[in-house]
Amino acid sequence: MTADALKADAAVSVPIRDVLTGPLGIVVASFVVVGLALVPFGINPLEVYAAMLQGALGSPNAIAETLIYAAPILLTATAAIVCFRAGMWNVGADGQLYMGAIAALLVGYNAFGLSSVVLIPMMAVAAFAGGGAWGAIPGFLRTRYGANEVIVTIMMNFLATICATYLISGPLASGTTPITKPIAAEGFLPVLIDGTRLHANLLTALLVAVLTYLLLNHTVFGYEIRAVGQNPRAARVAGIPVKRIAFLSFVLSGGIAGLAGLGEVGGIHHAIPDQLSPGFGFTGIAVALLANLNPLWAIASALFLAVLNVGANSMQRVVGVPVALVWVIQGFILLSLLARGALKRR
Amino acid sequence: MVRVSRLACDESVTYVDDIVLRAVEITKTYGPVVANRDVTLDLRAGEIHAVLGENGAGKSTFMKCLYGLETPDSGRIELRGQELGLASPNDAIKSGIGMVHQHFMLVPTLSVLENVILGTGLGGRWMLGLRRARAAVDALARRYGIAVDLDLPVGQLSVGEQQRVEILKALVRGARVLILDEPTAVLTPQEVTQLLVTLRDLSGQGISILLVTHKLAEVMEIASRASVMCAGQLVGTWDVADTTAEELVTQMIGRSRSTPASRATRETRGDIVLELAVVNARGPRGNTVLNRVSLRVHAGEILGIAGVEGNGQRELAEVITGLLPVDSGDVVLNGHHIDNVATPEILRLGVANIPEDRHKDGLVLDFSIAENAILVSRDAHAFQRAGVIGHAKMRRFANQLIGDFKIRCNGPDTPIRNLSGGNQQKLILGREIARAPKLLIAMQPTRGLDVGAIDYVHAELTKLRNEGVAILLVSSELDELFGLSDRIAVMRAGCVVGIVDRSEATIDGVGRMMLGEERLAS
Repeated sequence: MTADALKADAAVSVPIRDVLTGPLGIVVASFVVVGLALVPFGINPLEVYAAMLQGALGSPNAIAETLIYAAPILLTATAAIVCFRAGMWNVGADGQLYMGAIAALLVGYNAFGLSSVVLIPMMAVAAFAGGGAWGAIPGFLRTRYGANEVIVTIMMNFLATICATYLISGPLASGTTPITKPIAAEGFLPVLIDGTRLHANLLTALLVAVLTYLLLNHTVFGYEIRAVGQNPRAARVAGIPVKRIAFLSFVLSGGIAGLAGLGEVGGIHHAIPDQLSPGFGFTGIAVALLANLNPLWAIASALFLAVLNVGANSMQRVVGVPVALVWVIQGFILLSLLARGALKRR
Repeated sequence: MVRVSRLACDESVTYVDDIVLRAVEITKTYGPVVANRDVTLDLRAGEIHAVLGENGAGKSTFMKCLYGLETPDSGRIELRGQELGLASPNDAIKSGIGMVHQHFMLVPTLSVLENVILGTGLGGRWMLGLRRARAAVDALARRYGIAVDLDLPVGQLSVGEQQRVEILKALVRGARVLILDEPTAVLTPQEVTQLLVTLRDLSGQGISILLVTHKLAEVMEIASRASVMCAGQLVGTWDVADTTAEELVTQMIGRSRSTPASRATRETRGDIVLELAVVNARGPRGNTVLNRVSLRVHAGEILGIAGVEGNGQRELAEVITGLLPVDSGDVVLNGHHIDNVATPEILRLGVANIPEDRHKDGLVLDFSIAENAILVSRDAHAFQRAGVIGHAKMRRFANQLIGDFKIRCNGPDTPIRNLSGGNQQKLILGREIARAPKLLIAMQPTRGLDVGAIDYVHAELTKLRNEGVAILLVSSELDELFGLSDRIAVMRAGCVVGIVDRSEATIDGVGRMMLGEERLAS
């Protein structure tokens, strides 16, 4: 039945105009517009984009790096989707990622003499709980006092990074480098492809995206989340506990973002460095919007933005165009998507 | 061409036969749905032209095309012989076409004057220029006989007054053609009378009026011509003087209106299902909204609630469904105290609810028919196992409702947004009835529906009553209350000022109680 439903969703035909003004059309247009802007400087945009692709997908290692990048932004995107669908903005995925990372670090550092089979799931639970708890705070403030969740989550991002900085410079300081003491080796996430850094959290991210899709579209809880997001008044009249659903959505969203922290700690750094996240939380919002708030499409859009970001470095090396170009493209796409949303509402 | 003499009472109407606005072969489709097919209609100067049709007949789409909100796929619109390209309502306004929507587009915190001149530049280019604007607006209001206090904030006005503001807005923008979309649906009977007087005055002054409505009485009273739409096509246009209400109804629905069903009279009253005892409740600003309300609804009876809108009827329903907290007093449903019990719990005890505002309170417009069908019963075992929704069961249920309640649509996956108001209401009615309620609260269940749908809803309510369901019917249509209720309770200023048996009640008496001229002991 689930498979049928997936097929049904994919089989929906879309008029050509909607494709052109849809996410794909916007992506293509953004590349064209930004590319044309390079021409007056005597730069061939095709060369630039080729270098970008080469850097992101040109070698097994490059592909691995792209996938590594895709995992956390797929998780933060899924987190954003859960809140969006419930009618709220979670701009705090970065903070929730940090708290998830801290929780995973504390479990992995203490290790309790456990083997990997037990320790890694414990770290995952801790990461989810850490992020979830951090998400519960804006969720509570919003549903209880009507506090604006955008402002609260942005503020809490700062608090979370400060907590990490405290660990780095205080109780878990590792000496001279700005990084905490490492977790036990039993807490290292398994590597998927030998010789690369590609770790198992990619599977977590894919699993979470699929599960979130099923949750939203095939469970009563997901149905209630969507009803609350689309029409909270009708939801309330129909006996849906609107505030509880909104609160739980925020906890779930935070927990999912927390799992991104698990990957960074358990799979990459094996500790928490300064600057753990290069804005994964915000990139996640772009991924979510590009995917039309569908967790399955988020897999594709996360891969796409990962290609962009990973390819940016080699593009800078090879053709001398600064990395910032990628941010321009990304900004272009995001603004176009938001503008499209705003125009549609008119 | 038939000369419309009834309206040629004012000298200013020099060209009675002059066609001001003409729509030629307008066709508009939404995907596979043909909303309008080759609709041709003309509007003469200074006439009131009624457009009749069932819900979903395509009236709204047609009006939207005339007002530039929708672009027709083919066909053209001519204003005094000149073809118009209407890309937006702005173009329509510039061409002298104004529209009064069913849902008003006013800023509640601004004064009437500010609302009226908003965006017109009437006060001057840079400054608000209220004084200059006032003179112009005042003169216009006087000329067309539209009485409204220009200084009051719009939020403080009654619905009828707000509607007059909308009309004034259109006139200030130079409208010579006025489109009104079901203008009387939201009005009290007194306000309807006043509106009709205003419309007649306007047409007397040469304004051409296109009146979309369901209410035949109004058409017969003020319209000079009536066009009937059915299934997206224009069936025909009649001179009202040469036709009868019955003929128009037959054209609309292809069958004659059934006379109010001879109601199976109540055998014996069943047990008390709902009892309110001296219930007090307060609104958001601490004002008393329910004042010592006591009433009982028995199994197998319809208790009608009469009252001018805004006298506590909505709050009464909200208190029973747990949406509004009770200050003091008891609400008892089949022996369970339900005052200040959470809504889900109350619904589970067998309370069904048809909310007043379908779009805001009854439906999730972005959901499909099937999804809306389980909005209240999503937890029921029939639709979920261990929290997983059975989509096949959900669709089957929706299909059953579509069949049983004759909901016109393209299947259970159609977005509910695409359905007409009547079909949306049928879905709500169906899903609530399917819950096998003990008590049904029906708030304005036929508001905005066409004749066919109204009959249908009435028949269903009567059937439910005969099956032993207790029904609380809130309506602003006295005819409806008298046609359906076993007893009628009248509310005024949050109080139940009287409860009378229908057999002993008169429309006059109830009307007087609503307005506070009489008080009966319950």
